[in-house]
Amino acid sequence: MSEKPLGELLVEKGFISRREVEQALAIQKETKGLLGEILVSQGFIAPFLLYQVIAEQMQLPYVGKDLGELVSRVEKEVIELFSSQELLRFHFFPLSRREDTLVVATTLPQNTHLDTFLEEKLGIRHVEKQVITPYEMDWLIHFFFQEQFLKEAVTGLFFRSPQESAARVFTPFQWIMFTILVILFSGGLCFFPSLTFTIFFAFANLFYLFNILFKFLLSISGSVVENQETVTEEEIRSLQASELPIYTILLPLHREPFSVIAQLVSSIRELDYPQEKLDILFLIEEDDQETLHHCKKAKPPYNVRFITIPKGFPKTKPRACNFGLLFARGEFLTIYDAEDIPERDQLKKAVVAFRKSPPEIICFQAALNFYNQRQNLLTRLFTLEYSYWFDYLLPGLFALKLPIPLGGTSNHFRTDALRTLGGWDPFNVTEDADLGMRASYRGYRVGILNSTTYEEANSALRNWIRQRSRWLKGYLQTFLVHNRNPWKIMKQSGFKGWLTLQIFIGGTPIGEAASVVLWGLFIFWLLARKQIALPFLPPTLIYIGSFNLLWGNFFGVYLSMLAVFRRNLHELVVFSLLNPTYWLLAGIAAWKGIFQLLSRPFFWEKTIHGLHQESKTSP
Amino acid sequence: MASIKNQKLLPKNILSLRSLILLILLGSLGVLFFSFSRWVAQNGWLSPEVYFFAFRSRLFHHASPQEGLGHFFLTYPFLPFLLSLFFSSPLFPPVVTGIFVTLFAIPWLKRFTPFCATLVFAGFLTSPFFLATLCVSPTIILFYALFLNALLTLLSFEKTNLVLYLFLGGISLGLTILVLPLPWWFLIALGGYILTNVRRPFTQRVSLLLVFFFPSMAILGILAFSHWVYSDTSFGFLRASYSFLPHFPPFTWENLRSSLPSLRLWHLFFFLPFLWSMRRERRLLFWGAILGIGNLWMGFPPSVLVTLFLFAAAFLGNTNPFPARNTFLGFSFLLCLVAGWLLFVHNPSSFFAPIPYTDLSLKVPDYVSINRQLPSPSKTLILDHDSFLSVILTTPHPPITSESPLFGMATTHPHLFCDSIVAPHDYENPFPQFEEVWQGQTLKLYQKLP
Repeated sequence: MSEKPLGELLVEKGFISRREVEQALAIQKETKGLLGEILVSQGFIAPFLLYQVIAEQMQLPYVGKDLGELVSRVEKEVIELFSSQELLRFHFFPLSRREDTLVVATTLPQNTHLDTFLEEKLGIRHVEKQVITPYEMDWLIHFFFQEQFLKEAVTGLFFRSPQESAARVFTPFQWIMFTILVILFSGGLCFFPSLTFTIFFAFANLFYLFNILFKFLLSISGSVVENQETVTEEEIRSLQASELPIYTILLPLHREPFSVIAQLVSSIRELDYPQEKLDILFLIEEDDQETLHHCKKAKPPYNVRFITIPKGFPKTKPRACNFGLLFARGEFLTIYDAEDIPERDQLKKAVVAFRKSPPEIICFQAALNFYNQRQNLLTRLFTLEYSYWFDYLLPGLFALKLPIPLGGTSNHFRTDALRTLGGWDPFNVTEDADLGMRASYRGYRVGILNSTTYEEANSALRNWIRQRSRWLKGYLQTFLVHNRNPWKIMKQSGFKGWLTLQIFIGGTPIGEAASVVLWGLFIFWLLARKQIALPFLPPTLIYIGSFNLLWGNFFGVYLSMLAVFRRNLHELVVFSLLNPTYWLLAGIAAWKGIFQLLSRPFFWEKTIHGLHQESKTSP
Repeated sequence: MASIKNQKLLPKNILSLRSLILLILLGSLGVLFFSFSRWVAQNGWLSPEVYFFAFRSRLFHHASPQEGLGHFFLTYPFLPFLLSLFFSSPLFPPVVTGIFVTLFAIPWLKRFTPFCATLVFAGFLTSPFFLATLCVSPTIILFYALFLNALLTLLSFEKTNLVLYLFLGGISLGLTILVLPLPWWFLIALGGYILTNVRRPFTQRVSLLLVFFFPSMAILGILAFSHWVYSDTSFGFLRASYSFLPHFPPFTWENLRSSLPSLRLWHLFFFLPFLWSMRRERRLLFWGAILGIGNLWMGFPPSVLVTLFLFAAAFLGNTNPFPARNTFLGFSFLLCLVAGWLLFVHNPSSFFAPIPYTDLSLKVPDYVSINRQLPSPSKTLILDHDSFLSVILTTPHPPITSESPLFGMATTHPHLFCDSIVAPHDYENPFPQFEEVWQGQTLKLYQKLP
């Protein structure tokens, strides 16, 4: 082994300047990271050059130049001795075995943990190490474990816990109940219209009444803790960079325009976290060459790894995330969408929050909001909704120790716990909400992080309907999945956990769909008030219906008004008066979601990103 | 591993000792309020307003389901009616109102030391001023409680920036609309105050104004809608005698004339120390003046003013030179309480409103009977001076009462304006084109000849 330090060698060979070494050493002093990783993450040197020099320094062969040749040397029976997680954990890939000697390719040749592990596992004392870059390591794992990973990503949850998988939309019992309900309703409308209408009206209104009271309670609970920060600025400042663990960021990308990828790369660079401790995975579908091209063109930092998701069914975001999870190296993991801009210190906040939380809190949900809120009326109304959801309802759920359906992105996990949970359900189109509920029903909890990720609000109506119908379909899937055994849910998370499932998860799409019918009836009655009398409706129902109509809408508008006020989005306050229109749109999307649940349950309606940039650039 | 900080924020067990104490406290106060109102009723001092709520409640329970809807949505003031809806006895509106106000006051007592809070609490809620006013006008007690709560929460929001206070304040102010429409007068002043005095950028002030006033506007809209649905007259609730806006200026003037002379110097003694100790608190004086003027406008006993001012002073003052302000406040309240009871025992009748007592127990059944006999689309002229009872009538057309603009002409030419006339039992003027069709204990009903 050469006695010269790595930095010296690299300078001597002219790969980097002395100033860059000094800069990297300064970072190393603070973060205690590996010099090579710092150099790569700072973009001072290409990985294949670095690892060649490392190999030279260690007097080991560098074998990453010809991957075809490397693959031909791999003995499959040797691979079968290890799990993929072991390979990723100890940063090695077994090539061949000769009696007492194991030949491995590794990204960390000086890693003594590997030797210990191999001796403990197989009793091997002689390990012949050869050097490859982490990218070649990923490539090898991808090449040899692709099928296994794909199987795990798609059917892992289904085989381990079929009751929790949405692969089967309805159980036979649910089908029977659904059919009976449809027959009873249709028959009732034909033969006993008044009675059927009264029953429908009663159910709908009692449900709305519970919904209004429940959300009111949540909002109050959420607002009581509004000034309490999970993590304070002082805690962030006192955090030592050397204490920070590796943090994995999953970025599922699909048909993303270049502008979005460029913004993403910029957001990654902006994160206040040691770059060499960031394990960033771009998850790109195999057939999505366009996104791959855009990613390469955007020149992301070297700590970004490209993971190609093989073709397969269902082609959903959770499938990609599950696949990426198998490559994750971080102690903690988060997921962002391509267009997300998280607050700079969000990862640090998450680390602090995890460190001071009990182990049963396995996930922290950051708030989501929009950076293009002023683009048009739709984005304004969307912002009102998100502000209320993330700033009042979710903190309210947390304060009352109720299950929290996770939002689409910015969920920060303990990676091991996420693996124990089985990752995301690839058949559920709101896999995040499902995961939050599953975590709760298995005795874990989700916390709320006082940090915001800014996203792009959907600014086109059809695109919005597509996105919303998918969400509502996913909520219905989650509702059906966790209602397969309600007694078990009640036993595990109590009555209030079960109630949350009914009101918050099932209630959202069903309520929004029913609202279209009820609004229609109300307008019809309003127009023909003198002609149409409904004497068969019991007065109690009219009292409840009036309360729901008048006070329910009032609270809905007022709470969203307060939510944007709290966020200092003062110019949006007046737009909350238009919320009923927005709810009507949500009702239309709910019906679309319901029909899709029956016809194309696993179809992932892709939300088009980058409309914000398009509108800015168009004349 | 360190326990999560937020765990301490989670709600406590509802069966905690604190909840038990609260229940016992509310129970004891309930017994006190009930006993006092029974004693007041036995002496004939219970006001017509209290009877009104009790009878509206009785009417609601005895009406057919469809009529009940009309009674429910058309009764105004709505909130006190709603609170006493489950009790038909006139002894209960003061009790439920007292309990409701107590619940409002409890969160504010956290600002005091426990000893002082207990004194203030006991001193206020068991004072003869409070108990008597409950039996005179639960509406005005509710109004002041909600309005004061709205002001205090707004000030708390200014101090803490906690939106929860804004929410509670807005709702509180909105609920005053369900008690009296008068807050609109105050809202204008308050809006001016926010726009000119609150130290925030203009857009923020406007949005603050919107957020704070939205509940009031929305609740007014809800009231108007309900009235439109059940009576075709959106603002029919303004017919309630003391909230009829066109009559407001003369009503105010009359009340000022009668109330000012009844203000005694001893009423001021108890809050002079507060004024002195909080002399630098201009806001306090501002709100105190508003409360005082409001109180005089409403024509209620000055005791209400004193009590409310003490209450406001206790909560609003924050630049007190006394190091032991809380104890001082508590002591003063205790003094008020003892002095108040001495005065009360000396001359109890002076604590009750000088409103002539009308035997509503006889009049309300008459209205109920008349309501059943009126043809459905009837236009009715009411010549009875207890015009607020006319809301019992559920005909689609609002009746013409002494507060209606057409009242004068309708009285001289009734055949042009109405089909039916309700007149007092001893009414002597004949109606040429009408015939008497029914006579009750206190009222008569006339109908137009075909």
